[in-house]
Amino acid sequence: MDTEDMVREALRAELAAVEPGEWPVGAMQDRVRRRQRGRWAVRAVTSAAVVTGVVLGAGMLSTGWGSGREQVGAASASVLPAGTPPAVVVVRPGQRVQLGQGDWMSLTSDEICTHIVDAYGGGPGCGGWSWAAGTTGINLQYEDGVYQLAYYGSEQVARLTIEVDGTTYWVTPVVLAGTHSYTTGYVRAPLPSAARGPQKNPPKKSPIDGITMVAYGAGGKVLATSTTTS
Amino acid sequence: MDFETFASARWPRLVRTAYLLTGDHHEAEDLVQATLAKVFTGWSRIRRLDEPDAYVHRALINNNLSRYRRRRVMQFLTPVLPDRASPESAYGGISGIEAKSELIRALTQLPPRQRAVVVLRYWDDLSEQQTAEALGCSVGNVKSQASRGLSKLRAHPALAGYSGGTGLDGMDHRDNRDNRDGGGK
Repeated sequence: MDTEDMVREALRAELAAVEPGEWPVGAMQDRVRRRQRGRWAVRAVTSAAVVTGVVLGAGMLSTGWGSGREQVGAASASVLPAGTPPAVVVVRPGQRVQLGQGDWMSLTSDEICTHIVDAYGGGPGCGGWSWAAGTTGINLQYEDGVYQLAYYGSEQVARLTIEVDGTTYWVTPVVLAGTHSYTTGYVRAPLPSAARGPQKNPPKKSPIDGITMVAYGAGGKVLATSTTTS
Repeated sequence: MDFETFASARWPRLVRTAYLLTGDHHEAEDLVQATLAKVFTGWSRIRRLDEPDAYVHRALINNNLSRYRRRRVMQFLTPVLPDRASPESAYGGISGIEAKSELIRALTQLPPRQRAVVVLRYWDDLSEQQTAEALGCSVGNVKSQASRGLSKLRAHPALAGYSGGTGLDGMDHRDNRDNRDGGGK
């Protein structure tokens, strides 16, 4: 018997006597709930939030809402962050964009794949995020301190912002070289104050409720905006 | 397949794999629960993969390596082995598991990536290519780690009861004193 077979036999003999407990449904449900507190995605926000508008002057937004739709998030989207907006980052397909603290994302023509260290450890895995082809909209996901936005539509995005608890943050836009079918972006920012601290189990609503996201085109034109709701 | 059907069917096998990786029954169940909780959050995508089991394997291994790096658990790597439990308890269910067999102690003395290679190759019967994919490293690295791991285990009393020991499995047995976690991409 060679060493490989010896090890195989020994491992099987060892584990033959090991009887795992029952599939722990309750414990798993608790874990999933705990995990969901740290990872929330708002993916149902679509073209209803797409508007047209123009930023006027230094920091004030005037919205000229298309087709008379509800002004989702208009009031809280009216102030731009201080400081210089981050430049658009252009990447190749599959190239990793570092998000800080070891997290990264990579883009393909139809998917954003995000690797959060806490979820994937040192492995190469990442979680995909995509949307229906041909749609226009803006949405947001949050995981472990990182907000990611995705504006998908034909227009070219110049700037992205999110507003959390009345503070607006620049989001670093990232695009795939050679395509304008979507723009993603990332920023590290705190969760809304209502989401911090102890929560009911399970929480009745998403901890990223009330966050306003805006995509601006050239000249400050508002391409899309929305405010997250459960 | 819904998540619960998938996870409940895989649970026993995953716990056994995790037990070999961690050397501790409770740690093993915790590791599998944490891994499956992550899988659950992406289940709508993972279920459509050609090989969802391969994904779960990767997640389990990565999760374990990540925990190891974070916590640097030394309790199972102590050079002073605790007293051996009786043979009955050493191989009979959870109480036996807590006592830890010679083999488990031998495994936990391997560096974590080397241990993962041994477990995936010789317990889960993954190919070298599948093991490399699970660990995010080259096939050459898997061969090297397997060779070193086998070399250490062959010399361990844990395998004394398994006859033969001629040993040579056709692999390159270089530098078996190297106890570093030599994995990499």
